[in-house]
Amino acid sequence: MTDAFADDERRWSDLMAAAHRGDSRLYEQLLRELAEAIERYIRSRFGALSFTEDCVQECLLAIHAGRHTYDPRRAFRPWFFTIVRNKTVDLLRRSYAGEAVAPAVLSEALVDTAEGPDEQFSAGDVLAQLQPKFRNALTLTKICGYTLAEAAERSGISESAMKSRVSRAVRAAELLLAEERNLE
Amino acid sequence: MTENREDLIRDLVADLRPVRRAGRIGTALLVWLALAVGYSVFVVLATGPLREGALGNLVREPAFGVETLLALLAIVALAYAALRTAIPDAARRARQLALPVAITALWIAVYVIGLWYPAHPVSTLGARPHCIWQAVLFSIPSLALMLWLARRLLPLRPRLTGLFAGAAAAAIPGALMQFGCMYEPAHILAYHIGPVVIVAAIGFALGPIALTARRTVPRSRGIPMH
Repeated sequence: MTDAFADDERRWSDLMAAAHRGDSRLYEQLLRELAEAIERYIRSRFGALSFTEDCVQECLLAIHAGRHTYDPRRAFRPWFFTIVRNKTVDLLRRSYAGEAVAPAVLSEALVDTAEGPDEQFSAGDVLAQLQPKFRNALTLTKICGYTLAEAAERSGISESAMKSRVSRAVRAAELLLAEERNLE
Repeated sequence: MTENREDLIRDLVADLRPVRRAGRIGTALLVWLALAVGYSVFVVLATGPLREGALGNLVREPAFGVETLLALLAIVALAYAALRTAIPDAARRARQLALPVAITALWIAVYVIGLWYPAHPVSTLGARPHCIWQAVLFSIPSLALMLWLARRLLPLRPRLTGLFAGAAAAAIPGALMQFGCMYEPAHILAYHIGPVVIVAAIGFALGPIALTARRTVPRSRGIPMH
């Protein structure tokens, strides 16, 4: 664990212990720091997900609702990042399942080129490790915000094939995120 | 930081109340065991007699006592796993699952071995009609209680939590049928342990419904999760 990690670990653990006692000021500091950490986590792994802000807020809600499940005698980061990972994958899945997500952040003009979308945006670590077809599927549907039908048309495959590809891509991303546990 | 996020943080801070730490799940486990075992003993006794001499055989047949002890350990381990999976902590996940699965496998294994070397005289004495469906039905309140307890934590893998909850709930009447039904290993595997698989599947299916309904997407204002 680096010094920065160790500092975060100690500070967050102390702040959450204070939140358990009902200290609003320290709890607010904790939520602000965690919100930034969540945003960094998502951006570093997936680049500009169209629903990053939703994900941050959903994580904050889960942390608030489940703050009593954190045991200050244990490490904070594994507890925290388990929530973040889970909520991120949850939102990736849900948006694919047809639930509304935030509007796409990228304009049509940006992605309407001959290059694949993954060549135009700096992909995060996780996206970069995915097979090109999976990266392309996630980028189109989760970053560019295209519907399955639109993404399928752009990739030259059927909608059901795109649906299956996105589902497998989310699963592959989930496995890659799970492999990171030891780094926490 | 977006305005929505600012609002959300303000709302969450305003909602802050001191909480009792639930990182240790011993109390919830004991509450569940006491209520679920007490209830199950009551309904098993209320719906039929114990097999004649079954309790005495616990002492007379050590292997039968070992089977019963393994059943108790499996119940505790499965219930512990159900609650433990409802607390986010990736570092311990593998260990969370390995021990209860191993104990349950051992419990089942003794009956498989019992097909050749039974731990107790085999007979149809005490046979209870519809024991499999009784075991399934008897376990539903215990499953509901466990899901309620798990819901008070933070079950991020609701299917897994539901699966363990179902297995733990059905293991209690399944184990009690050791005394309330006939002793025959093939019958036990199919009709007493079978419900563990059935109710675990029910828990697996119910988990996402029972354990995730309370939280909604955060785009709306306010605190929507309670």
